[in-house]
Amino acid sequence: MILFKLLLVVLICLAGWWLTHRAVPWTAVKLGRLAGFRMKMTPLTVRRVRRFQQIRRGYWCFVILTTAFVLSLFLEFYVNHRPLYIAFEAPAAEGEDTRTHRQFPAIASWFRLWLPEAASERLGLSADTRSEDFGLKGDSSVPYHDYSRWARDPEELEKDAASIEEWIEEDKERFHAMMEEFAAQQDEVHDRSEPLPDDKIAEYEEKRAEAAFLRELKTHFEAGRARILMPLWPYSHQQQLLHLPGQPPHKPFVRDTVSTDDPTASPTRIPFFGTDFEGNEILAQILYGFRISFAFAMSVAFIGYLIGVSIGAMMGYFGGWFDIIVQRIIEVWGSIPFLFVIIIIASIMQPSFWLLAILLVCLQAWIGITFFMRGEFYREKARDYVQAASAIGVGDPKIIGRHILPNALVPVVTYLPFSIVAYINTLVALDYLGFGLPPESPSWGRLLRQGAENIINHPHLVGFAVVAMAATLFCVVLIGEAVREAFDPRKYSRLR
Amino acid sequence: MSGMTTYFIRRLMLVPLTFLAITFMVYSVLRVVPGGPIEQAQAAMRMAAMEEGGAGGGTITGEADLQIDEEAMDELKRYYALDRSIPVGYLQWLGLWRREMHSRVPAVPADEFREDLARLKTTREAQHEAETRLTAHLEERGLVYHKDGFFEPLEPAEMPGDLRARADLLRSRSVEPHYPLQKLLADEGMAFADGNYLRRVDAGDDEFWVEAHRLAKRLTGTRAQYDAIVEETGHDLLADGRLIQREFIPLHRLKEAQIAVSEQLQGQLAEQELIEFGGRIYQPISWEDLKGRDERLAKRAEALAEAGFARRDRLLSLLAAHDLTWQNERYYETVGADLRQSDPERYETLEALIDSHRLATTRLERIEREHGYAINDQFIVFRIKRALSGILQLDFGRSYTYGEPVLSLVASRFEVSLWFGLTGFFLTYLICIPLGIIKAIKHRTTVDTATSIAVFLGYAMPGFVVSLILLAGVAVHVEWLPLGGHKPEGIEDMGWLEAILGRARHMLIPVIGYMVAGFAAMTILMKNSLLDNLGSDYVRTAFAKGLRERRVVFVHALRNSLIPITAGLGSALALLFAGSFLIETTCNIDGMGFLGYQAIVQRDYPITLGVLVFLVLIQLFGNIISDLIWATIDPRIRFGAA
Repeated sequence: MILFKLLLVVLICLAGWWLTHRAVPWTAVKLGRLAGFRMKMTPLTVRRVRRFQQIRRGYWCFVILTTAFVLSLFLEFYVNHRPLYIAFEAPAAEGEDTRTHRQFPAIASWFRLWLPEAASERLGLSADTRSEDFGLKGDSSVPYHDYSRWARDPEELEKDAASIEEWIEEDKERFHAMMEEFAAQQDEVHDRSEPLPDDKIAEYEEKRAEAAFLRELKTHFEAGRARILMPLWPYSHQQQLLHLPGQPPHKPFVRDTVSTDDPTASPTRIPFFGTDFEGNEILAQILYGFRISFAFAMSVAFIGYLIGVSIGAMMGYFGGWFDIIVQRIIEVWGSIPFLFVIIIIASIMQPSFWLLAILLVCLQAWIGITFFMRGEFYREKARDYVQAASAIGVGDPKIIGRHILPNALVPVVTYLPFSIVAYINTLVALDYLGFGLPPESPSWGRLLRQGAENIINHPHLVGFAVVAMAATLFCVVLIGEAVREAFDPRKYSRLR
Repeated sequence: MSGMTTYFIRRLMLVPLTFLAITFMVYSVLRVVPGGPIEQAQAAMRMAAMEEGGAGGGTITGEADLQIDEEAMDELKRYYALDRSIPVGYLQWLGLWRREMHSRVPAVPADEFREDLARLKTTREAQHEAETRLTAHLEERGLVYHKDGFFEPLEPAEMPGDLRARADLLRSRSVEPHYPLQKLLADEGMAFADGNYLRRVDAGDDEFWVEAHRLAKRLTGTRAQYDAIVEETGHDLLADGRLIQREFIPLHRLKEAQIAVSEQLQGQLAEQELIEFGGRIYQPISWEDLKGRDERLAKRAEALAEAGFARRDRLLSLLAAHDLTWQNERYYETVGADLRQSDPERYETLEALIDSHRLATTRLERIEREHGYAINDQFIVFRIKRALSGILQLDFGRSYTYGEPVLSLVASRFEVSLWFGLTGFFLTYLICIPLGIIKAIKHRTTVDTATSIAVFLGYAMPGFVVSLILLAGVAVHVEWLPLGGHKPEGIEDMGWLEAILGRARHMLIPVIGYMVAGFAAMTILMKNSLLDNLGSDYVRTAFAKGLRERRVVFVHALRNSLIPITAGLGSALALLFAGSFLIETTCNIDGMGFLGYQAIVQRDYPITLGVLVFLVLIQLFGNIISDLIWATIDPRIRFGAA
């Protein structure tokens, strides 16, 4: 089973690699051609790209990281507490055909992530299931972990029912023992044949009905009427594993199956990587956290560079008063202790993903690149091709956008990886201080915080988050170093 | 003037501008955003009070807490000038616009009387004694002494019917000392005191009256004596024995009068569940009734009420347009014609009380304004001064979580931050320069590659995470390393060696965190700069001369390659402080960053803004200093040149 799962992981990774580095570029080129763009790289760019590919560690990190990010966009398909597929064939009532109820909650949750609320409502995409539709009682969501356990081995239902009955007997025993102790204190003798109090009887009745229901359910499961397909890693950041024995957080690498006093809790396996203080599985948190951190950093970098490059381009191209005034503004703006200010603002407003991104862009992200772009444009403006373009009457916007910009993008490419490191770190710091993303979002910073607050008992929370951060950021830094080396090579020569 | 000088002058001139821009932005954010400082502070204090109150907390502690809250709230309101517009408030906070300052005028306790003031006390005692003896003497015949005359109590039945009705009416509508009533009675040769109507009696000439006149004369004598002393010393005694300056006496009297009317009014209102607001009488109206009358209005009002303090003014003006108001979390409507008709006398009484309350208040306010003093309900006198007092005058306000002036708090915490910042700063240079040199000399060898990994990791991981790893991975297992704090307990009593070791123990992990921030960039900078120089012509020449490699590298090349390293000096220092609050939070160091972070969490805005001011200043001057250093060391650098 484990081998099969590992094989699946490898397959998913290969598929991700193929998607990221074969399918997407190919489609992009084809689509570009259809739209009339011809992607032709200048010889200089070709040389730079080739040089980048030759720097092995950087290139490999690039491949791994891009693959990981593209794969993480589809996390819902293989790391999710919701099943990919769940079906139940309701037994036929008199004069009716059997009706099979099917749902794809994991896939629906993926679509809901990307589509606006209204559109997913119209499409009838529901990530939630109703227990009633799947042979259970009640309106709430199906307990997928139990459901898949039962589907795998219907005997488990019998075991669950038996454990309920066992609990009833134990509870009776406990009750009598308590009464005896109480009676002994009063110098009396407790008579065991006395009828139990009404509420106890009612409680036991209820439990017995539950056990009977489980036995009845067993016939359906044995007849193969219930089918469920769980994702590869059946946990997610949205699900609090409250059915686990004991209090969260659960330590990792504990493989025992533990039973508890609670009758409804069947023997459960604690997830391999443990849980955090809210009962969320840690690996799922880390993986979803990777996606949101990376998406955050990319969004901030994209918007920030968009603004920074435009302003920097105009500063360098137009010069004069505009240049001087914007320079002064940047000087003022750059002196803001931005993390402190973001925290002040975040402490008043409830920050969301986009609010944080925009705050970071406004206060910090647009500034860094502006000066580099200004310098590039200042230099390029004096070149002959710009003069030529200007002489034949090409307008300023076109000169900036079509002529100079492609030649001035080196700083953008070389600084992007380092910006991404900075923004991921900022998000982690904000989450760590408790002024980051809303509490329902997965986050590395919160894991760090929980670990830091309970550093003596639960250092593993820090450990996992740090390993994830270190791996990701190290990759990005290596990419950045390789890109810098490829685009701006320095050949040192010295005598000895 | 050279270009350089103008450049730096321009930079320095930009400092105030930058400072104003940043602080104005943050000030506006704090003011504009719904749920601004006041409301946040209220909520936080309510929470704290609830937590403290817990199971045993009775209503008394709760009310006491609220009292403190009000005071803190007043101070907060004054500090942020919340009643003024944002620009004016900002200028007041800055210290460029005069603000009203209330400073407490200390009351002198009776036992700290100056010598000459002791006479005041003895005369007062003599006066009391005379009064007691006169009263005791007059009691023989059931008489009282009132306003320089002898009176006998009057049975209500003895008064003429219409006079009594008029007197009673005046009595219910005015307050002590019932001027209109006294005037009415004086015309009839009567008076009113201690709840009794009095009638003047003619003095006889028997022994009793001789004695009575003698005692009365003595009383007036002591009174005059007392007044003379008051005149002379400029001080008076309060009923409770505290000393008060004579100029505050009218304030006191008026305040007492105002409180008396207010109490009478509140008593009357409370009997009928009414309230007075802005000179009008209101009765409660339930939310359902309000909704029944005007559903849209009711819904808007409810929304505004829930939006809290920030929308209170809008809510009141909205309701006022419909003869409604909102007090103590309830809606009220103006009292309509029904009360006026059903109980006209009571209604008129209320109106008269409201009038006299308003009169008392305006009188008090006039006196307060004239004298430049204010008096609160506890009869504590404040001096009102309109003055410039803001951060330019180093008035950073007072923290309401610590109850100390922000400036002294920040100063004491700054010292702790300085310890860590400077240590980290020097250690960074001490490690990075040799490491950079080694990496440059051993370029593209195993040593270089191996250290590169450390450098990249250092670049990738933020300092606080590194500290956290060390805390979780090392300090938890090694008893020798503490989990927090910046110095061992009882360091004052330790020997110097022990003290140094103790400090080092506490500083080890945080300082590593501090160093990570600059470590990677600094090492790479050092390495690249040295490599650049090693490839240059003058190094080639030095080698050609036949100098030894050691001499070429360490004497010729190194000196030039240190220039870019020193350039970052100022800004690196600034960075250490600005970014340090993450490390301080992680390692529980009581530094400035931690202070700022806690202030934000606890909504202590005076500290928040105070810390912000310091951070901005450090950053601004750090940048300028680093440029200055760079320009001084490297004559090739020309700032401001075209």
